[in-house]
Amino acid sequence: MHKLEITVSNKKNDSTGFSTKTDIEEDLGITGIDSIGFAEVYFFETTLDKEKIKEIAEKAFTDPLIQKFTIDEEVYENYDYYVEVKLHEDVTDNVGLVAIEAVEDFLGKKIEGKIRTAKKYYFEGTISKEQIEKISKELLANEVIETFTIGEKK
Amino acid sequence: MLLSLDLIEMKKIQKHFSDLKREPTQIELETLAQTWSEHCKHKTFTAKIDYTENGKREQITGLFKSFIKKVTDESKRKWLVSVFSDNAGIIGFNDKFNIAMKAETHNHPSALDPYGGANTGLGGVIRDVLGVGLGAKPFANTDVFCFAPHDFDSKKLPKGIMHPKRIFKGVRQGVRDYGNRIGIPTVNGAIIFDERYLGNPLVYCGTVGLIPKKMEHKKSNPGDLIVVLGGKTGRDGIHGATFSSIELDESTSSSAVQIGNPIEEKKMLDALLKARDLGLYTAITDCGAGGFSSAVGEMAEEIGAKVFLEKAPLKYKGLKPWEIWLSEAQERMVIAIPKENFEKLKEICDIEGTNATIIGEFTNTKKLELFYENELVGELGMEFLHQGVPQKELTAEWSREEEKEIDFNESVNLGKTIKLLLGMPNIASKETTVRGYDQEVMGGTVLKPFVGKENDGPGDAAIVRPILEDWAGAVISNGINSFYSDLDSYWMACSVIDEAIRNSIAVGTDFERIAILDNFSWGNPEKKKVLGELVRACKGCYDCAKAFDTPFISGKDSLYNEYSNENGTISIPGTLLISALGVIEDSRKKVSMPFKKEGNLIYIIGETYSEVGGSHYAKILNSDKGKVPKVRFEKAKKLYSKVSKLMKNQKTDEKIICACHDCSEGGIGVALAEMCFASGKGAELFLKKVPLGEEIKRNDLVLFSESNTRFIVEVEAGKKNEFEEAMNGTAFAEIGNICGKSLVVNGLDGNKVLQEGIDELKRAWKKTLWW
Repeated sequence: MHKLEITVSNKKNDSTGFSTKTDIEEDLGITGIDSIGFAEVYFFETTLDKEKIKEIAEKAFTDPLIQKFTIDEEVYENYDYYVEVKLHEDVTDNVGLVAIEAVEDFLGKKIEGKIRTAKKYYFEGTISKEQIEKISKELLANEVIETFTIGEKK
Repeated sequence: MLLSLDLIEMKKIQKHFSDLKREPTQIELETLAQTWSEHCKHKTFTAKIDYTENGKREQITGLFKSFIKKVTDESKRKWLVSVFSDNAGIIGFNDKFNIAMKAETHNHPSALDPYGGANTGLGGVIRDVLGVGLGAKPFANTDVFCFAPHDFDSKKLPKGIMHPKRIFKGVRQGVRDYGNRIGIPTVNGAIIFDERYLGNPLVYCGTVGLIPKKMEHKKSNPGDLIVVLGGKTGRDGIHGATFSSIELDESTSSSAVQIGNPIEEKKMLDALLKARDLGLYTAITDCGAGGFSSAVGEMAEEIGAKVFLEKAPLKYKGLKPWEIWLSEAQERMVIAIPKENFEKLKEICDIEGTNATIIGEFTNTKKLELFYENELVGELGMEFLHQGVPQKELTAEWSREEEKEIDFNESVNLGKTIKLLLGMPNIASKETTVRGYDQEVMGGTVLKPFVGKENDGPGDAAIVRPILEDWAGAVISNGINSFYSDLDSYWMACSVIDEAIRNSIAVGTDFERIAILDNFSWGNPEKKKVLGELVRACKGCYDCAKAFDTPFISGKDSLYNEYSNENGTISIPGTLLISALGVIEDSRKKVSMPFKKEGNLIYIIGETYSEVGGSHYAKILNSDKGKVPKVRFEKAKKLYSKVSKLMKNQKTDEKIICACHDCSEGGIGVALAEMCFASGKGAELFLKKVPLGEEIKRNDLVLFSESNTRFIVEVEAGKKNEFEEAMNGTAFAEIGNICGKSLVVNGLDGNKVLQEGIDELKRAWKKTLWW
């Protein structure tokens, strides 16, 4: 399995990150966040190798003018925490289904396996782990259908 | 196993199978539970009710038959095409086309996952319209939400409930992402707030579609193939139909939640409309609640069907036969198609990139036969399945207390009061929500949600031209006000019908060509008082709709909207959404609500009573007293006929009525303020000229009473006589004129009682929900 992470090239253009930060401040009353970088995550549960995924990412999944990506490593180096939100296995992941279709269109053949997706938020700022948990539970993830994992900068 | 059957129903099933001398299989029990669920059979609306009103007892056999459908059965309207018999109601539009509308709730799923719930709610109602007759092409959506206040104290939030603001944001994103991506404009809606929606937010979605004449009937024949189109089947949403028929509690599981895929639905929609125009199939229905069980069960009701469950395309392996049969996976439709046409259908589906799979065949056995890998896993007689459900017997009670006189003094500062009213969430601008929705796609939207100089004034109704070569427009409006239910649900029902019709007429709809849809969201009908209120509301529906001869064409109900936790049970206020679908023959004759020209005259049409019970004015003063607004049926009918006739007959370029706005929440004061700031023009008003239905001695009551059946109109100064002549015989009066940049109100004694700059008023109206 390989993991593709995609985000904007310039953090200033991260509208999802920006509006998430506003929601956290206004709706949860948590301040101290400097910035949030938002990334789309694709888990390739297929037999495709890293080189092929790199080609697919470049040519079918991203716009090189405004987006950048990494494979099997984090797309942001500087962060204090990240939260990764993923749908439960039994909830239909439409984005993942369309992603597989896009890969098949690009390769011109059917492929085995599947793609699951996730949303990942990289936080920078002075916030506590408890606050990150609150943000995850009350804003980013709906635990009825999603799970979340929190990562800390080592 | 979650079956949601009651004891009488279970005994009936037990007897049925003991007569057959065998045990039921799981798939049979699940099919019966789904088909007999409240969601599918509307058991409360067909129940026998022992009803007592103020000590007087009566027996009601079916609320639906006795009050809702009765209006339509007795209606003389010739444009009724297909009502209450299909997925949506159909009415006449022009000489080639009819229009269809359906509105329904998606409350329970939206409480669990607001985004996915609202998303699939819209997807579902679009499929309903696509599945009416032989298929209508959806061209407009409407959405109405009820939430708890966005500023609810999070510390008081019960366990397991999401904060209302989070629900609100999720729902609006869900509607936006589905409607915009499938490419259908979202043109009309409303949002109301009350704390009792905390555990049960309401999400109503409606869709209007265009269908060629003669395509309104469908009939599946024995020998036709059963074909499923669109998405694949997974373990999604199993038990949605049975689940939506019970109360929510903390332990409610997630299996009913899904996220929609509008692109999948769009591909299916395009393929189906092509196949429809080629006359390939004989019947169609959507896979909604209950999945195949409901869709195939309904289509085969008169004939019979054999289904081979292993043939259904699956998202993943490992589904049990009953799961395939009951799955509520989104974006699927079922059609009945003669064998010889399947190849052609398959070709179209390949071009559009969607699936078409044969899963069985219609028969003439009057039986439903379910197979899985050549083994018979279920066999049910159609008659028992569809007619076997025992009629419920319920008891209802309602008693009226004397209406209370108001207990508060006149507000001294009316300027401050009007700004408070404008800022109340129910009245405040919903622009940040509505702007996210595409109103322009398809290019036929004539009158949009926002009108006026800066395109931010609140329009009364939307007009959409579904055929761009024709000036005829479909007019979509709504009425909702659950606050009046606290006083008397009878007058609540009359008021919301009046409001929906009033909004429609305000933009120029022909009063003779309005049809309405009912959507009840109520608490637990097994509680006598809750059901009593529902009976009262249904009575109001009959009386009001009958008086106007405005027939119901479709409807839906969502009951058991209660939430229980350790602190007790919260039940929602009785909520009735009336959606109105009207026709304006020439949409160039539309009238919008902002004032147009300085120096023109302001008139009010309709009488004002001292009716502030359940009003927003009473709400800001924390009072639950006062008289609830009534509808004076005969007077109202006459008034609507005259206004509608005048608007219909006026020339498109020389209008007599240049602007029209309905008076509802916040009364004359709010309506006038909205007309001012939408246009950037001020107005001067003389309260003593307002025609009163009864003696009122207080400025605040005249200004903020929410009496029904009133319009504020702008009349071209030179056409005063023409207007007055046309209105002769109804209550109306010239109450002011358009001038300056402020709203100025002169009180009953002639002294100035209010003067506010229009920018100031607009700011108060916009700031509350500006996120």
